[in-house]
Amino acid sequence: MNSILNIDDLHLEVRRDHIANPVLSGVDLAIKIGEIHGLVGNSGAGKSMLAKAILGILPAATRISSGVINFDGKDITRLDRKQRRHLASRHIAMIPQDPMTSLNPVRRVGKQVCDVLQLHMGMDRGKAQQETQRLLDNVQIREPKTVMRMYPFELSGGMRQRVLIAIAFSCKPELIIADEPTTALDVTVQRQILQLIKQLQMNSATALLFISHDLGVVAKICDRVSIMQSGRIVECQTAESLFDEPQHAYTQSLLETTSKYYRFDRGTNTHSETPAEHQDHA
Amino acid sequence: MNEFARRFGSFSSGHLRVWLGGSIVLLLITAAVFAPWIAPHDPLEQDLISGLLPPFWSSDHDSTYLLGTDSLGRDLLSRLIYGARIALIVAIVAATLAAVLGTVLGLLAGYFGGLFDTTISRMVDIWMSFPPVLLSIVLVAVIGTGLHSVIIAIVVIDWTRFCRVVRAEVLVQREQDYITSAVTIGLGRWTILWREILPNVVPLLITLLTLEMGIAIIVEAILSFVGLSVSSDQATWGGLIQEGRQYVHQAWWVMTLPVLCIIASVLAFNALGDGLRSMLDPVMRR
Repeated sequence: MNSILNIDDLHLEVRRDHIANPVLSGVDLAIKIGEIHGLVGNSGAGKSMLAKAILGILPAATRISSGVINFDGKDITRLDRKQRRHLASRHIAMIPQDPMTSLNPVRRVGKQVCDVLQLHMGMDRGKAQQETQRLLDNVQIREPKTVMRMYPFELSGGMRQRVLIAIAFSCKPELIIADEPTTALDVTVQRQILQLIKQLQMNSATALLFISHDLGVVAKICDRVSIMQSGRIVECQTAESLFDEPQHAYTQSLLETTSKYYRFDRGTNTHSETPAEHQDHA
Repeated sequence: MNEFARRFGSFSSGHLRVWLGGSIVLLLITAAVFAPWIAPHDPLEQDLISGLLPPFWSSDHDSTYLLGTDSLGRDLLSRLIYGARIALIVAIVAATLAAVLGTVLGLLAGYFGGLFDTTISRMVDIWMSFPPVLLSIVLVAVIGTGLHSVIIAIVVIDWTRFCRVVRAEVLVQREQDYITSAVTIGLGRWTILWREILPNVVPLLITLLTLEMGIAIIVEAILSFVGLSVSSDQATWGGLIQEGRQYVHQAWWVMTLPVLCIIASVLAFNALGDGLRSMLDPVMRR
């Protein structure tokens, strides 16, 4: 299977008071077309920085010192702002960490979805609105027409995350980066959102980089998992073999500590349930 | 509940202020627009025999002069109504222009940062270190008197208020997650500035704008008080205070009434702005 994203020996540093602190030191990562790739590591391991590097939204003080991020055959670290914009949404999209703050508070939800469609899919207003309705329906929002006219503050966190997921999938990108998409949500909503992401991903050809610090979650939805520790990928395995026979010492300790609190149930079929039934409506 | 009631009905505290402030401002606008029809007398018509007549509540008032007359026997009510014209024109035009200039520069400085931001910010710092009233008097003295000079003076001095506040707000807004989202969606920088950031600054702008209208009324009064506003054959509130000052011991109302007009209109603008802000902000963040 071919890779959609190929990261090769990526080094990233943050400059503070003229001293360069390494954040990523030689990351190698390959994401195959259409797979869900988990990225696990503790806080500060550089997961989010890696995501930002791929999305091209690195903070001002950060710099890619060497290495290549190959997306669809092109090195995207060398693109200028304009070329990056062509990639955004259409080819690489994001599901943000905190749905509460990731929608513009003073603009109607529908408009914010329409924006993307009008910008990238060349739709006119009317068509974009129709499509928005369909997209919101796809993420199991009831009464999409009413929701479109609402402001973000009128929606619960789960609903907002659904809207943001709809935006991420709207232009059928080849890669979606989900940076801890469920950490800001409560546990019951978390499960529905995970099921939704998995279901939408299966219905499209999109590859998903799923960043989490929660091995339990990763076990449920990912095909392959990469383990990250202090700026390096220390292990990359299929999910099954990772949990059955972890190779790296760090992975073993991660699994050990996690399994004290969780029981991994990879056997459960996550698609048989209907999330719409226990949907959190505002 | 329909849309109007939902947006305008539920915030009762803002509601009250908007209605109070709004009705006074509306009264002011009506008086200014329909001055020739409302005013009982020509504001310049002199009646030297009936000078310094007291208002209607006094026992020896003249019923044709509802609020009394000044030293030359001109009707005070008519002069106040015509004075509202000048005050309102200055308030609206000067405040709006200052808002536009300050907002544009503030948005650009806050969003693009770098050398542009440094230049603008230092300019604002230097600008604000001048005493504003003195600066306006000097400005008008240099470019000549007249309505347009007053407006220019206010714009040139007070754009800094808008610039500084808008810049600070843009700095806050551009670090928000929804801006990061907008970038990953692929919106251009100008689109983000115009469509994502500006709407979030608007509630603040409305407050500032109405505050500025109040300030503009005061500045106009100061300039006409020292005779640097419109020519003296036009009635202005500041001019009325200046004339009344000389007779304040014989006829206190000639000076007091325009002062009350200024206080009422400035308060009204402030209340309106404050109320509008809390009503228009869907999240009531502040």
